Amino acid sequence: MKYLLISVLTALLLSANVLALRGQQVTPQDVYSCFRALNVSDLPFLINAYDKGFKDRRITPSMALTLCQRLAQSAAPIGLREGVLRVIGLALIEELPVTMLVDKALEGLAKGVALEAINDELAQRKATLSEVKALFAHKGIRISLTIRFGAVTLELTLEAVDAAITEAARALEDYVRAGQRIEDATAIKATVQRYLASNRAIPVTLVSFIEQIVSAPEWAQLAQNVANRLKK
Amino acid sequence: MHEHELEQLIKETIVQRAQAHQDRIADLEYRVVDALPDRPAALELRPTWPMRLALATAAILLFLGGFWLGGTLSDGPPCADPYVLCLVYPNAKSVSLVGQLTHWERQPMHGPDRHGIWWIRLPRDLEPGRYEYGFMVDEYHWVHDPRAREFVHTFDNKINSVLIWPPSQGDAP
Amino acid sequence: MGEDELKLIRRSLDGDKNAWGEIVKRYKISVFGVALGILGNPADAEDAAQDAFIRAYQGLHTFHLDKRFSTWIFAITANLCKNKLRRDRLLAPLKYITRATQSHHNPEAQLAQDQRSQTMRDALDQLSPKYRMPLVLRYYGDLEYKEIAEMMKLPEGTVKTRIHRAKSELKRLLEQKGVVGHART
Repeated sequence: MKYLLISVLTALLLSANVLALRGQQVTPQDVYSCFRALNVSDLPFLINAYDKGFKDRRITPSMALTLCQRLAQSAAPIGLREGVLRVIGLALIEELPVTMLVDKALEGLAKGVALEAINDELAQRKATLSEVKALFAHKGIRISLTIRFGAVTLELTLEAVDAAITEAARALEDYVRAGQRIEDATAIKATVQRYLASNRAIPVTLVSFIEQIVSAPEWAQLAQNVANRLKK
Repeated sequence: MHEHELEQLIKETIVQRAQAHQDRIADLEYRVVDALPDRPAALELRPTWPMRLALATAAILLFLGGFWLGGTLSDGPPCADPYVLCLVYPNAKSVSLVGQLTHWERQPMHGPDRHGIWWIRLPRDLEPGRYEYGFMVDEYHWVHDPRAREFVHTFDNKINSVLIWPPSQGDAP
Repeated sequence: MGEDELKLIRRSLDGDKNAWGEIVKRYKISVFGVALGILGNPADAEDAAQDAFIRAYQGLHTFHLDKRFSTWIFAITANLCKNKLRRDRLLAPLKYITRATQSHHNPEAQLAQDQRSQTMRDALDQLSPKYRMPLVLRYYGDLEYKEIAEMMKLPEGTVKTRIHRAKSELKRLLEQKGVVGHART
């Protein structure tokens, strides 16, 4: 009887703990409730896109909720606020990494940048992510690829490939936005490699692999595309 | 004549005029560099014995005085600590750290101390990586960190400072 | 500002004179243009440009890296020009009138692309410096009204009025010379 009482009490305490933890964790439902509260015009699209993002582990419910809550604090028309969620939703459907986009949206909101400008910037950066992803795919860099480098064998994870796409796109955007020379392909490639090396989620083997198989003119072409988009 | 035609003509006229005389400034960079003063160098003193004695006495007095002054001097912001970000902005009413480190939320900084320094301590478990950040002064004024080693251009052509963590040797945080 | 330009400025702050030489190389033509636009005399503009770069190097620690470098260096140039004009006005009040009437004999006249530019140049010379300076900074230096107002220590409204009056006066002078039709604005 005594042991039974102890077991029941332990079970009760454990389940209380689990419930408390669950209470702290953000669920996709919390995110959708926030979308609903924003009165977005195309809720099914957003739910569909973000649901895919959560399942693919490209965005966490906590990240999405933070973004939604910050958008809720903005005084801009709902169309513009929904635009931010929509661009990121489109990226999730296209299986692009979205950390840079969420980050830029939060940055813009924190600095009080006009939402039109934030939306433009997100659209431009999404295009760059898409082009880097296409270039990597063309070179055979994709999830589950096994790279053999001498004695080292590495199987690429989604996290590593997404981080590499993000850093390369960020490097190209930063390079062009700083007004540096688009003709200097070597400098562009060096910048990309430096950004790749700075992110611990990208294995060193992958950084070296990219250095070997993506040429400077290929990076320069993407930088040129970034510059063309910025001119528009 | 339309307004924009007139404005264009003003600009073109000055451009043409400057170009017509540009031989005058062909070697300007060399002339400027020759005329530049040296940055004020540290005072060079050849210590004599009396001076050494005076310095030693002053050092002892300062050391003892330090104890007497107690914690007041040591309470200043530890800006040399790589885990501390500092900004000198004496006239600010408030300064916040904003960036990837704070998920772009405003994190109020301590300060100002009597030298106008604002500071904030970074988390001890900071993951290695690149972090963009800046300081929001008086709620709306975006200011970069002059001690940062890298910068990127961002919205409205303003500048974000970049923190490379862990800092390489000899780098400011 | 490009990252390499930021690096050049940082190196200059550390006392690297060659880095500053590179900055001078990049900005000399536009700084010279501002000075020439305001002063109207190439020799004076050359001196002003040289002084501006030396002053800027000495005061580089006051430059905010998140601002446009061009705005800052143009402000220094414009201030030097303003001082020069003030000094000259005290010493030789007739100098500018003489210069304006002499400008037809200037060798640069041969390089003017068309009569409109030449007439505009003469018209600019005839403007009083207090009107010419904001005009040059706005349309050649590409500065905002607010920046010009800060630099000239005038209310923004006054700067706008001066630019408006300067443009009206230029239009009048151009019409007088018959190079443009009457205003349609």
